[in-house]
Amino acid sequence: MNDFEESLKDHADQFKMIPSKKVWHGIYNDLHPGRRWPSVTISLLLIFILIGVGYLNTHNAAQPVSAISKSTIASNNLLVNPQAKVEDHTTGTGLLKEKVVEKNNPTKNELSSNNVSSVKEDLGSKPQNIVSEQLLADSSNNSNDIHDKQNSNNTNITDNTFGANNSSITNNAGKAAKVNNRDAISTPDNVITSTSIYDFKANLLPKTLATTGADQKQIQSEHILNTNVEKLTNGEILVTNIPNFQSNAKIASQIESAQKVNKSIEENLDNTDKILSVERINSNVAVAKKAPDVIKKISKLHKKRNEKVSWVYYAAPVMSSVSFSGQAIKEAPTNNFSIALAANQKENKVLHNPALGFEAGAQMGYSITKKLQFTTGIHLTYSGYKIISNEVHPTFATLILRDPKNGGDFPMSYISHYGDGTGQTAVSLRNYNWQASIPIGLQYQLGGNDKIKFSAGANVEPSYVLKSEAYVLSSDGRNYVNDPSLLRKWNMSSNFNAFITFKSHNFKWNIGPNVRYQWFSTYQKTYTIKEHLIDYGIRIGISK
Amino acid sequence: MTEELMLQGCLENLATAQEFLYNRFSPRMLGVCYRFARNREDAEDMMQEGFIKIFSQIHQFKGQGALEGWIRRIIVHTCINVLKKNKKFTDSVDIFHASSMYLNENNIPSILQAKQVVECIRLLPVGYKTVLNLYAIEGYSHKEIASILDIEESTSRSQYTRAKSMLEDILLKKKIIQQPRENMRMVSGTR
Repeated sequence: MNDFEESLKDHADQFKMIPSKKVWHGIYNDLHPGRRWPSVTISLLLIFILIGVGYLNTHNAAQPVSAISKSTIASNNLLVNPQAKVEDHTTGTGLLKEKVVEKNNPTKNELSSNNVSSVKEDLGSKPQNIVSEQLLADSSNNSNDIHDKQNSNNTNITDNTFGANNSSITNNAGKAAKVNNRDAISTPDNVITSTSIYDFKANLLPKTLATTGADQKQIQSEHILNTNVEKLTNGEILVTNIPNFQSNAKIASQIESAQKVNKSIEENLDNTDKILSVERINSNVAVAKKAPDVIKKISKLHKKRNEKVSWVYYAAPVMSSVSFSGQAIKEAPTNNFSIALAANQKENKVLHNPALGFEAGAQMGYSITKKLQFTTGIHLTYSGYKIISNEVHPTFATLILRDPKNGGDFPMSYISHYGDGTGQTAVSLRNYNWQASIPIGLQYQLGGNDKIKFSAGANVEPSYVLKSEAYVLSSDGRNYVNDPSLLRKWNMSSNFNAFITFKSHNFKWNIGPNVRYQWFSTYQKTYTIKEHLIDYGIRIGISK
Repeated sequence: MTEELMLQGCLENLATAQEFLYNRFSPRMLGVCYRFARNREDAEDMMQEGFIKIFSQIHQFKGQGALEGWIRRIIVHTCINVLKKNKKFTDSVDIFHASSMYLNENNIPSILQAKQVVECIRLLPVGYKTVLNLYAIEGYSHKEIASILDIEESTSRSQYTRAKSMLEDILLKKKIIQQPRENMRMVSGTR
């Protein structure tokens, strides 16, 4: 290799170029395809979650009334025809179930000592009585199960509601206090909720313990009864293997022991029946009769509360624009070279075009008056604008920034690939940001009728900038530089909207114009140019 | 980040390590691509393709020799493959036509000598500059060049001689070199 070639090689090796950002983005996207457009994926996910949560909320908001009405119906069914309820949830024989039902049916006033003793006779005379007692336990368990199911469905029924319910029961404390634990299992009162049963028990038991000796006797017998029933329940094998029990000595012995237990139950029942009186039953019936009214009141309360709260899910294509204010700091000429540079400076003018953006969110409205609503929720915005630029060979560009603490200016140097838009190889840069915000505002119904309503709303939105990109003009106005550290993380915006509301296909639709203005500059105070984003859009909202 | 850590990260497909490696070598590699390409955009495309190959074949680097050398060879091969795809490297023009091309060229920047030299190389016809780049700068032998470009070895030699002569004229006319031709030892090397 001769000198020329060596010299050529040396020169060529020294040559370096700074690649544009898109090269690395291309490589990155190729190597990590799953991470492509992470922000878009996250945003879509967020929107879907919002819609999902919204749907569930709307669904649940509508459910309590129907759920309560169902439970009311259920309780009425139990009052009128408890057999239906028991048949649904027991597995034993129909005959035995009927007896349990008779025992548990206070509305017919058939639960007299005679009836109980007739049941008792049956219990004593037939081996299946073991089963019947077990079914008695089952029926109570099942009724609890029913209540639990109702509770699990009735997610919007709050403790306060139960409190109201309990208070209504407590009002009847004079009578209700007499209701023993066993009654609590079977009376329609308990159809309201199992929780109310527990509260009820908790409230009443201590009082009961403090009452008469007869009551104490009752509680003791109650305890023995429950224990026996539990034992029987544990011996469920007896029920299932009844057809084969005669051939099985072990089962026979178990039956014997069960019969012994049965006898003790009979004794307990005797004690219990003596204590039970028609007056007590009547008081139970009175309480039970009031139960539907209580439930109706609760449902009304819920209805009122639900009517006050409404959810709207909206999305809006927006056209984003920007307004600039403030002055860029120019480099003060100190020598001939900087005078020449200053002469070469351009006016700090960003050539830009509006760009399409997007916003979506969920808005909760709480009615203060008939026409005025307090609104809040979650809001996601994507907005930005396009800068007309041109590609240039990588060059140094300077941005003079101002320290907000002492007011002193300081330069920052950047490598820029983009010119001010006056060159030949035109390229469009996009300044954008993703913001998540919590709007707080008011909404007022201006007019309308049942079919169509006109409303207007305004809110302020403290917002957090999730992701952003911003190119700013260098101090000489010739190049665009990108410095994410100049961007503000928190901002505040105002949103104004007017819309019409109408019903279609079981949904309420809100459609109307929307304007959003960003209060604070996109940039921090170090950059003296103020940039305020303005979004104009048509908001489309949907609610149940 | 040390080179070992960087390589380990790249082997584990970690984006941070990959970006580090890219930032370290991309300016020089873009310079390499730029010498082969018609313009900056083509050069960036070549480099992008080259780096994707580098990251996907990084496990083949056994640490024998410099990492930069290994990366550079992949980049050069990628550039050649792109040129082959576009069937550009076989393009050739006669010296007369070529000189009329560079004489009309007024776009050579005059800030850095290295850049001037590279810009002058880029003024050569594709076939010439490819052979010149491979032989004089990348250090390939004519035999290797013939194999890479699917041409005769003699063709490679003749292309190189013509390329060098043309480049010398361009450099003289742009006043990048001052010596008269007879004072320069311009002989085609043999490897």
